[in-house]
Amino acid sequence: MHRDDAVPAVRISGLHKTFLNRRGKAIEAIRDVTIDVAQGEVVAVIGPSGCGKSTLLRILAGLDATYGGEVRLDVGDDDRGGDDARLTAATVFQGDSTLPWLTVTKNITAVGLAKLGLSAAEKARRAEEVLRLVGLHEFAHAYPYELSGGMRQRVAIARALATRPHLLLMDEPLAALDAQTRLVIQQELLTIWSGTRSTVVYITHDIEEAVTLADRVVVLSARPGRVQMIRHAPPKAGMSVAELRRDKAFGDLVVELWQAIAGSVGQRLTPSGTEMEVAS
Amino acid sequence: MTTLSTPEPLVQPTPDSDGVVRELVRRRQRERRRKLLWGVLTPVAVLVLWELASRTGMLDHNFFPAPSTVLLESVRYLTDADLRSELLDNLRSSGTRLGVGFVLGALLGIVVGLLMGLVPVVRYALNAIITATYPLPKLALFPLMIIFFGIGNASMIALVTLGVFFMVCINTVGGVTYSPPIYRDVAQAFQLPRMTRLLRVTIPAAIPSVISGLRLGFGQALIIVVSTEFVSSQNGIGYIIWNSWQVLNVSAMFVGLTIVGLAGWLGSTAINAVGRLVVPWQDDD
Repeated sequence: MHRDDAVPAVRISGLHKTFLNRRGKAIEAIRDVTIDVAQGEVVAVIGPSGCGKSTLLRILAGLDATYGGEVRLDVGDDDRGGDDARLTAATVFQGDSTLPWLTVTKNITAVGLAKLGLSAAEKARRAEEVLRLVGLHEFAHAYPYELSGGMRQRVAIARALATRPHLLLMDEPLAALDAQTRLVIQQELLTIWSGTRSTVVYITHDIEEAVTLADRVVVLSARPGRVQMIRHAPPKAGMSVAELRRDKAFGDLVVELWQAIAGSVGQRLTPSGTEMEVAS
Repeated sequence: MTTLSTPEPLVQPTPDSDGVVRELVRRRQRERRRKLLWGVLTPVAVLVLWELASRTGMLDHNFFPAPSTVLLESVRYLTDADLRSELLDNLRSSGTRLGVGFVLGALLGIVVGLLMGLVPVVRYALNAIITATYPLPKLALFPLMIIFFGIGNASMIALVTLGVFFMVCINTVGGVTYSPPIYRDVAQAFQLPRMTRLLRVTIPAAIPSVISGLRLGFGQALIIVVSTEFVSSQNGIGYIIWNSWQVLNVSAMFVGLTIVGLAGWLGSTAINAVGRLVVPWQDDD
């Protein structure tokens, strides 16, 4: 891939998003958000619930096309055909997104890889590779309902990775997992990303997770979501999740981000702001 | 290096040192036995009470012959050559109406239901018509069917088809439109080609609902077959019931009722079994 590194992989400029609620009332979810994500950069987006984090991700994933402003993905084409084919963007959703009627392997090959014109052999190879990566290769032929919630989420992560996406979109992928599994998977993600240099947009409400995984952290304010703050995370070359958490710079940034969000919630989460949460 | 490593698979063969697994297995088996026992004992108790009531004269045995009498009558239908061939003929007539009507109605219901579920315009267009005609008692439409298809099998099958169609169609539409939105999101996010999306996501997601439609449809089919045979037929199980009543051959009437009951039970058990087979991720019990 020959691409100018100066060209951001994702350019979100002046993004506006408004929903209609059931009573036909317009609800502003995102106001004038501008974020650039560089090639190979991991950007975490945090913010109080209802700040439009998930909405932002749905727009990037192509699940929502009615918005104002500009969203440009300059990450590479789907380059269909060869066995090197990659998807422009792949998404890991917040809740269980495995399809219960397909085996773990089929969830990857028949759904994740459906768009790419891969040979059957390459599909099988990729499925095996990613399942090994997330530690589920022994469950290749199990059905999702035979697995625990954490294992199913790992299947969803494997499914996204198998497409070798130019842009990996993750919407609170670890929110439903227990604390230990969360740490383990954070470590796995760090390891995977350091190898693949993926461009990642990672939505989370967990500040420590954001600082652990991301190169840069974007804080959105309470609804309507606006960019409140952008911070670079301390460099983490070769450091493990456990080491990162003992790092002074890490702790300082977590506290700073925490205060920013707490302030935003204090100001904005007034009783009048009790509209139904639209997409988060 | 760190202390973190790939998590162990959560499902592993578990050593059963303190007998917990054995206890769990025992409890499950006990629950199964209880289910079977109560499922069998209750109907048996009802039959025994009925037998007693009929024999002691609490129930007029002219109208409520004892179960043993009905059983003997059934045996007579099976052993007597003339009666047996008559019964088989009637079973064949009813079975044909039921089977053909059910299959036609189910196919039609699934196709129209899928179209309504997948194409909003079709749904908007047909919704009013279907919701208005669905609650009509199907027997009330029988005269219309006779006008369209003439007196005889065709009009009866048409009515069965109609009854099954409504049940299956409405449930199929629901299955497509009310399936969890996450499935649609996944299909969209991974840019599934149209056919893959239909076959791998939309249709499988609708199957549980289609199965309940089939189950309800089968019940409808049975009701419609028997009731149309009451009013306009010279054969079939419904005809046996009605005719036996007319000539006050009450035990023969009960034989007919028993057959219809058995057919309903068999049909819904079979559909449940198919459901468990194709929808293993939903275990309802």
